[in-house]
Amino acid sequence: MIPVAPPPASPTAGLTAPADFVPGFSPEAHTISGMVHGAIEQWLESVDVRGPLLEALGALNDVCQEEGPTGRPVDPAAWSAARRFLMQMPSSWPMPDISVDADNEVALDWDFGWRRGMALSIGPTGRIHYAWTSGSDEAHGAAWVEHDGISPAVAGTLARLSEA
Amino acid sequence: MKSAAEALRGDYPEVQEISKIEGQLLIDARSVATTHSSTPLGWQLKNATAGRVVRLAQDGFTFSQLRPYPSWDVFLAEARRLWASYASAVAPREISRLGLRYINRIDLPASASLEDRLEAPPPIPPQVPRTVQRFLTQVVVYDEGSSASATITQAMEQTQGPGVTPAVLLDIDVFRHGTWDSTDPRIWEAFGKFRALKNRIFFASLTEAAVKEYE
Repeated sequence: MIPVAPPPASPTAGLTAPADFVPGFSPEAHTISGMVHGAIEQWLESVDVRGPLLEALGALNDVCQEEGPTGRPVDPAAWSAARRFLMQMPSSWPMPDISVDADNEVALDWDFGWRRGMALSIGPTGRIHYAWTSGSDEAHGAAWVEHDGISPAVAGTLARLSEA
Repeated sequence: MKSAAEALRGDYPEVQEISKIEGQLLIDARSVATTHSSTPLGWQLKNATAGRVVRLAQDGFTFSQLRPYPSWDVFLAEARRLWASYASAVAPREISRLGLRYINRIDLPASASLEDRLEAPPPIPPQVPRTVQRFLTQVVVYDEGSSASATITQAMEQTQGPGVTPAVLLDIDVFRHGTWDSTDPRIWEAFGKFRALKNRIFFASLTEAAVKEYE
């Protein structure tokens, strides 16, 4: 039997992770990168499996084209980091509402009911600032958009809130 | 970052700026519009003779060694030197991921099967045709001893032609997420553990015959 369990401090990764492969420069590295991306593209072509993700990516593109609260469109690097984050979400997770916040960063919001939700913003460096509320508890923190999954701090909080 | 690239130019003469270029095509019922943008990310430096490539970027530092392969100690010493140069120029707030990746090419002679070379080839059910044209398998495993994960990718391309030997690529990417200061000595201890785990995975993934041919 092969046990399946998430390790303690490892990122959460869905079907389309890693969205960006760690760079390699040999012809073999390019071959593997191309084959992995080919597999990811196959998932993305399946509207059944990745329909919500495709909708979220479309919404991300829409909000990033518009002028945000600062009168400027979102930095392409912030768009790219947010896209990587969305691509790495497990398909079982609910998709967030997507908008642009007052700092011109991409804002993702999950509303799980009265006083239960999570909001995070993603900036051009891939820095995530997040805050969550659950009843009378609330907290905030920071993490990074990783290459091979979603940071345990963010993933753990989202899982707890969505199951509560 | 530019100062770090300039400082290393003597050893890495091929210097190239890295940018991220995004393009978009907007289509509605009456018009088509295009947008594009370019964001500078950093610098890539190369020493083609030594087979070395360094990527100094906003989102990370990577040192790659292609053929000819030196010893681990030589590789690590150069990585430390380059990292010191990058860290002093960029002053990274923290390190969030460490990784060590090896990509191996295992030739498949005409008479060899996948089972002859790989301990875990992709399983094919008995009723399914058995001639494999190409495959890709990937597992991510976690090792409690080193607190590291490893992405193990096995791939075979569909290649043919004169002088082309079919080959399996065995890609072992050992990594760990966490928070480290840029001068934390545990970074380098971690790489030693990563290498040990990589070796364990490498030798466990190949049959004895494949290891002999690889040596």
